Amino acid sequence: MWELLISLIIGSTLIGIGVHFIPVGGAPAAISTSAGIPTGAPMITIGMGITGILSAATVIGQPYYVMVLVGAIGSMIMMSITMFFSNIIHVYGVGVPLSSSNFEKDPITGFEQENYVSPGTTGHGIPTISFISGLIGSFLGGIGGSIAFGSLYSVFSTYLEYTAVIDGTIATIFSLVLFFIVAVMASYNIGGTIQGFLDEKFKQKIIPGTISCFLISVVLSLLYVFIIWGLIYG
Amino acid sequence: MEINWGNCMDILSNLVLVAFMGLIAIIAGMFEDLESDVASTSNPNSQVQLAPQIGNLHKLFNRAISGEPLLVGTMAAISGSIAYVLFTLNYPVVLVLLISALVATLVQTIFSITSYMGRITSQALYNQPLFLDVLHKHVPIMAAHAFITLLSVTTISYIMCYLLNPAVPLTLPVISILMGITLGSIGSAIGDIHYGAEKLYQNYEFGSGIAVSNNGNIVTKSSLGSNNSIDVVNFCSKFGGPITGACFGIIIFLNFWIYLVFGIKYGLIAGLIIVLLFFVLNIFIERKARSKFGEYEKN
Repeated sequence: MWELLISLIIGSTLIGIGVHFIPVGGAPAAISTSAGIPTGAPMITIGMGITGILSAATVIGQPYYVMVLVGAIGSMIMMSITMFFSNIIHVYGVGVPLSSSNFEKDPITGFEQENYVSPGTTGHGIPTISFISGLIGSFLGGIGGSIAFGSLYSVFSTYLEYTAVIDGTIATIFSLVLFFIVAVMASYNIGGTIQGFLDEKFKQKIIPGTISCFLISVVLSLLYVFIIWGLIYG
Repeated sequence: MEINWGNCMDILSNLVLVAFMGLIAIIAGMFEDLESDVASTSNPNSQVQLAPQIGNLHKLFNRAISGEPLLVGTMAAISGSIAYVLFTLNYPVVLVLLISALVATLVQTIFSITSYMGRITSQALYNQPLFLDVLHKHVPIMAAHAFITLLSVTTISYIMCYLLNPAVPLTLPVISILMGITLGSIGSAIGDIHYGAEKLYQNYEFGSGIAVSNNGNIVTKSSLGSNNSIDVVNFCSKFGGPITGACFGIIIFLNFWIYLVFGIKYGLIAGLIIVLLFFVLNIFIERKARSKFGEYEKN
């Protein structure tokens, strides 16, 4: 049970940190008024986390570290393809270059940002550095989600005498709820839009975000361990 | 060398199934996005909601039951649960998939009608009328798109749960929830830009960006009569919808295909290479857009 508690705490803290890395634009990004992925932070994070959990579930029975890596790669694939196609719509459907006014210059491509941002907006689409930040976020979130899923599954399969399908289903529902709570917590901390780790806002928000995500993880994990304790020994 | 034909056939049938899943996922993604456009569900709906408050009365459908991922996830869960029950009663597969999608569509239709009426009547303060012809015309089209979406999602979940070998070790309703939420978040992150940033603001020059001061000043007139959400779905079906479908299809296909073809160890490396490939493609697109559109002209 101690192992489960520690892995749940590590997993959900990683999810919380990962959410901060994802460049999110919210509703303004859906009308090209702000840069980032055009939906709420919890929404895109849950979509990404679920793809990771589903990928991890397909390799149930493999060693633990394989499950974690498969989950992380699943989340990264989902995130990279989503950001890429989102940019395609921005460029070919809306006709705006990818830029953000939250930083002056992209350190990877060396592109100046300010002259490409339309007046009255804070950018459009997902520039390269935000794309990298999104990949880091999806990697952390995917690892966190699959750590939670894997540890829950291994406890269920060891202590409960159900079939693999039932164990997998219960573990999925538990880790899904974990994802929802932590993602909503982290997005409250972000409060609106964020453009990845180069954004000033990220530097202000990441430390309180990490602490609060850690605290909520401890509370949630304790609750989970109590529930699972009751499920096994009750 | 001895060839294990049974194993070969498994891999072959899995490959065919994964390709089929990708194909259905394209349809699911396309229709999910178009459904959210015709019923005005997701983030761009903030503009439809805002328009009457700044004096733009409109005949667009206005519905926001919840965030798109949660809506599609819930409806997929209803559909998946009904399908699961009917499968245990040994009904034929096609019938089960059709009935379950139909029931979930009915629930979504009821939600849409009440949501539209509630939203519009709450704007009576700004003199926005509730048009019954908007309700009559849009609801069947919304329901048709929702039905195709839910049928596709349930079919993908059915393939994952019962036909793949080895199958995904989860129950059908849970797989449908996962698929529905993923589909919703992709639909809300991709296709809605075409609706929100382009179709709603066609009164501004292409590529000029939507300034905050222009928020709510959406197009209310069409070439003939009022602009309605059926015009919107006609416009978005030419670019936004298919791109969303392509994205969802590629994600579903790649997530299974890499491990089938390369095995788990090399599949992980292949996955990483795919991620890097999309990263490089993204840089190309960024560079091309900058050289094509140029800097913003200050005048």
